[in-house]
Amino acid sequence: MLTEEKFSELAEKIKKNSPAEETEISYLNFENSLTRFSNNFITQNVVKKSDSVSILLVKNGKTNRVDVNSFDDQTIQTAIKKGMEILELSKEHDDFLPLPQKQVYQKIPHSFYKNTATFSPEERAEAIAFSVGKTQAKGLQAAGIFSTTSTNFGVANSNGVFAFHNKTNAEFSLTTNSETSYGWANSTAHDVSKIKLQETTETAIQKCLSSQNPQSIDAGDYDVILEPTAFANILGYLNWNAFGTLAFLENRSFLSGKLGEKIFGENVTVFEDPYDEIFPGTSFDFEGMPKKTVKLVEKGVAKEMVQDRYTAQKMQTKSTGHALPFPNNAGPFPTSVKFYGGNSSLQEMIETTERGLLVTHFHYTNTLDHFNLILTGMTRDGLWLVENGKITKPVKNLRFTDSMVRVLNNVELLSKEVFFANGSLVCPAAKVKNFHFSSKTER
Amino acid sequence: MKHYTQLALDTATKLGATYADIRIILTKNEGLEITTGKVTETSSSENIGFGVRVIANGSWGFASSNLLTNEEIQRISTLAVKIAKASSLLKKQNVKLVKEPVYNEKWQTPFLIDPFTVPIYEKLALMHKIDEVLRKSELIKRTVIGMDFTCEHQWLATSEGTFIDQKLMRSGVGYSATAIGNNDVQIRSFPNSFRGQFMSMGYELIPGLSLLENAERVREEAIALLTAKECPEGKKDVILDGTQMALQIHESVGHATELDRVLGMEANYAGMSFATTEKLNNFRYGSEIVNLVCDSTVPNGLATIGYDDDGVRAKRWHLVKDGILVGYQFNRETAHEIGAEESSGNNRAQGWSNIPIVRITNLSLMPGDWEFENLVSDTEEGIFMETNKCWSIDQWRLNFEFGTEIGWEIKNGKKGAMLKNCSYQGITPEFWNSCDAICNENYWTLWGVHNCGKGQPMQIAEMSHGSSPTRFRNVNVGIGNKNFHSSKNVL
Repeated sequence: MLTEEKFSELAEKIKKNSPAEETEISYLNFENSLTRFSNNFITQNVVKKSDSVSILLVKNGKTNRVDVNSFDDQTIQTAIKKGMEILELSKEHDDFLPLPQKQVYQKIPHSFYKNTATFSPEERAEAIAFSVGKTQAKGLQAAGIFSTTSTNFGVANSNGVFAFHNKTNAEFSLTTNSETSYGWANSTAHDVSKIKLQETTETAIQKCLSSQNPQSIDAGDYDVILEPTAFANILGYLNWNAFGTLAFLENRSFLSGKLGEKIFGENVTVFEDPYDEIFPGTSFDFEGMPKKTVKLVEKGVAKEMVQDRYTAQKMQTKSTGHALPFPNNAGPFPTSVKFYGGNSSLQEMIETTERGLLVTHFHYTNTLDHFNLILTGMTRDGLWLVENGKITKPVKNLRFTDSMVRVLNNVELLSKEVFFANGSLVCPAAKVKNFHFSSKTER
Repeated sequence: MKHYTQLALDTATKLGATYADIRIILTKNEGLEITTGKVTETSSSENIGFGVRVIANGSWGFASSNLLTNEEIQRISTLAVKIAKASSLLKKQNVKLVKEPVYNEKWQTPFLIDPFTVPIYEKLALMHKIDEVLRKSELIKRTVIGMDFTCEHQWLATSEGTFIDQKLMRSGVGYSATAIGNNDVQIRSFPNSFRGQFMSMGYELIPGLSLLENAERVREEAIALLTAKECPEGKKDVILDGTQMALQIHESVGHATELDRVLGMEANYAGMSFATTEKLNNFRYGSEIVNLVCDSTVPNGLATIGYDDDGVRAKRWHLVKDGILVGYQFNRETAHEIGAEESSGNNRAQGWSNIPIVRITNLSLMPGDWEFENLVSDTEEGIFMETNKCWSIDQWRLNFEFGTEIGWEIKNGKKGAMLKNCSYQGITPEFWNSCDAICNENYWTLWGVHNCGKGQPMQIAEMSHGSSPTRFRNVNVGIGNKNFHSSKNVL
């Protein structure tokens, strides 16, 4: 793993050895320690490491990219030589923009914790043993993970750009099961000491116990109360399918031509905010451009799109620091989405529901129709019928098939509290009217 | 390499490991892509590293590194033993591995043309030609043409004495055209969606696929889909083409018969399986004509190997025979759970940085005896669906819903109008039991799945599924189309 100083030295070495007119160096390292358990015992325990440098060579409007994971002089020189040979045989990019000049970056909330980077296999095992013990005491089985990850990300170029970011993540995830039911909960944090081990364990146990002997229920339209992870499961699909700027420009997105128009209900406000305190992102993109906060949707009205330098040029605006490595065919899309909360709570959502379903989360959601934002997926690990303001009984899982456009026009209530959910975005719990379930199962 | 592998095994065993293995892997990749006439990828990479896996105190430990030096091998081997000892704080029983002969072998994917020796300009020239044909209409707003080549050189050594030097070569190619108009967006792909066809072979894959010859048809189908009829919602007989069958086999049989999943080892993430062990040899998975065979020896399969990452030699066996569940996919650790005396050879890892886990191998539906035209003429009212667009299946591998790029109405035994927004939904055993006709070997092709995700941490693996057009009776189709498409207004 390269420190900021070591990455700087490597970048200087590469720039010095590169015969290209412009050279960009990006560095991505992660070390993931993960203990996995099932049926109440540890089944897998690993340290996974990845260390790679990607070099973009630019000459006469032509580019080529080479990746290596050994950083000795010979490997680097061989890679650059081969990269230049391929570059010479390539065609020019007719719209290539010179690499950015030196940039200034906004301070990102602290997200690297040494205690997380050095969390040991014994500490993971002890945490798991605690949780499994609690689960077993209730006559249930436990499966899950305890994971810690350190990530280093750096970008430098021959025009003076230099940016470096490091962060840590920790996750504890627990699935509990009885003969007839499942429960699930998880906890994520940058600082491993903030992992809510006991609370997560108790939630997963409670969900499993209260969803025993579920009854069959017909598919159809239901008011649904989506816990934050369930809501995040489906919201995450907006990033690619709706908020992707290249799809927007190519008229492949449902948002195409709708900037300034009301597309969702008035209670829907979505920002791209890498500087959010709950789960901050990085302050720069793969080209080293500074990331900005972007107002995607405000009170249901489509406002702005994230940009890289190429889409910004087409839309006559400025980069918001959302470039992927050049060249690419995906274009910029948001990576630190925050869906704003409302004034409600999960309890109020239940109390105001005449007949509906409470959903823990969804499994294997996928897109049936990108243009109309139609998704399908299954409920899992706890689904309950809510009648006359009360949870009345657990029910068997259902498959939904619905359009996110319809869903986000039918949001009735949002919780005040927001959470980092599904490992992807910050969002509240939501109550949605007339959510469409298309089929059922007997499990 | 033997110096490094021996150092790892010696270090681990001296620290108390009762079993150890090391995999050193050197991977070369080349990726090329043209998007709407512009080159969006000409990347090449070399990646080397090693992973050490040990059993100590009866539990597994694994650690990996990209730094191939004596000191790092000793450090990582030591760390793997430390991790295994931590794992043993919460164990049910000692890990046991079923016996496997000791091998000292070399194996390599047979290929004719090393794709890394073919000049990039030659590859790009073909891709540009395809792009030109695809973009001859202004209604085609986006094209993507990709080529991918991988050579993975693996050295596996175990403390039992096995040493395997294995080189795997994989090639892939494909393209898609996106048409936009009539307030709609539609896509067609060739030879398959999601970056095309992938096989274990060399560059000879590329000229063998008639890529240029199919470009005009693909373009015209994408355009025609904009104004095509909606797939109706309701119950219909369905004929699935080979590419969609590959996905069907993968999701509803492949993952369902991974023994680690059946045993609950994937419960927290990918889920479990309805195909539990008490069903072995007595559960009717499908109709009598359904025969599903695993084969890691079949030529050109993406999971065709000499040996898996447990050092188990490649083999062939039935999962479903005459409709009955008769087998699982497993490794040396889980074999005991079904009383198997040897592993089926399904333990594979993504690269050097991951621990091997049970992965689907090449799994195919054996061909039947139907000619395709006879199958159509035998279908009174149905839909012929081609090329996967969307997949979703539940945590028990029971309730699935899949979408395809295109469909064709079948009425009174004749293939008729083109249909768009095709989808179908089913429950796995009911669906396979409704299978009543399978086309013969002339229509049978191995289709590569190069993006199968599983495990925590997530790993990607490759495998192929052989299939030919197959009919299923009385299937739910056009899921949600009445609500979302017919009105042309999702609101």
